[in-house]
Amino acid sequence: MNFKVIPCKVGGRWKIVADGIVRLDLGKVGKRFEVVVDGGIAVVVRDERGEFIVKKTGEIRFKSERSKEECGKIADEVYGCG
Amino acid sequence: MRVRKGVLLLSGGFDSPVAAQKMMKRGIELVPLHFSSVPFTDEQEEEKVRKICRHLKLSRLLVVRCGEELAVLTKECNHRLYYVLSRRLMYRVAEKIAGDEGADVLVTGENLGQVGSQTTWNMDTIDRSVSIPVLRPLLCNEKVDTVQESMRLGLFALSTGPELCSLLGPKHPLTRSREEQVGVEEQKIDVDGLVADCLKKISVVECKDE
Repeated sequence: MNFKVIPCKVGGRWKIVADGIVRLDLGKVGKRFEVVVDGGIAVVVRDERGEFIVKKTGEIRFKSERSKEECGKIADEVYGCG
Repeated sequence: MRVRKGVLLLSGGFDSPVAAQKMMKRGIELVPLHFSSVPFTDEQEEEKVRKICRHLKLSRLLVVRCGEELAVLTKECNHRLYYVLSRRLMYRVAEKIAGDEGADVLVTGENLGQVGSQTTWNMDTIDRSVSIPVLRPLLCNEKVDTVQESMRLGLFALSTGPELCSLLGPKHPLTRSREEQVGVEEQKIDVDGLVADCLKKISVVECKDE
């Protein structure tokens, strides 16, 4: 899946926006990562790198500052879940 | 009825701090209350609200971390009514707090037509969730006037930055909600339970100068 890593309005961070119309299966994302809270249209998940928010639309936001490259790597893993 | 004390719903955006200033100018004591979407956001937003309170000389801020309760709304109810349902939940919590604090009114920075939840119909539906009066000192303000007022009061820089209340919201919210329609949605969830859960999560944050 193609995506863009763009600056987030929350100071100094990046967010991921998927290209085109996306309907992620958050259930599958929840199997790959530990689910902190499931909001139906968005889930907060975590792994050893920290917590991030994944929306059904494919948008990913990060709760702490990290490099653009790391954000891209996490996006690959999230979208790879199906 | 003479208003002496109000619970201020403080989001951290431009409007609610300006609304607070207007009410305080009238001699009304305020209890600031912030609903945080943690864990859907981080703590930056709470920190921002704490700084705003300090600037407004409000020494005690109440914070309710209600991300999990908001997630119930997005999972169980018509998503297009999310903003109305979430505000009804927040107002109910605020009303309980007002009772405990001896406050006469709720105060918000809402502004007619500014966003999807702030249409006449939606504000009416939201107001019907509580019996306490809701004061909206900025109801008919133009946004540009509010932002200028924010600058004049030295609040602009503090109000700029993270405010992610829309993260769980729909792209196309309903702008003409009706109470019956909202009632049907609220029957799908345990509203009293959610209010009780929120009340259990209140934390008091000291905002005095360091």
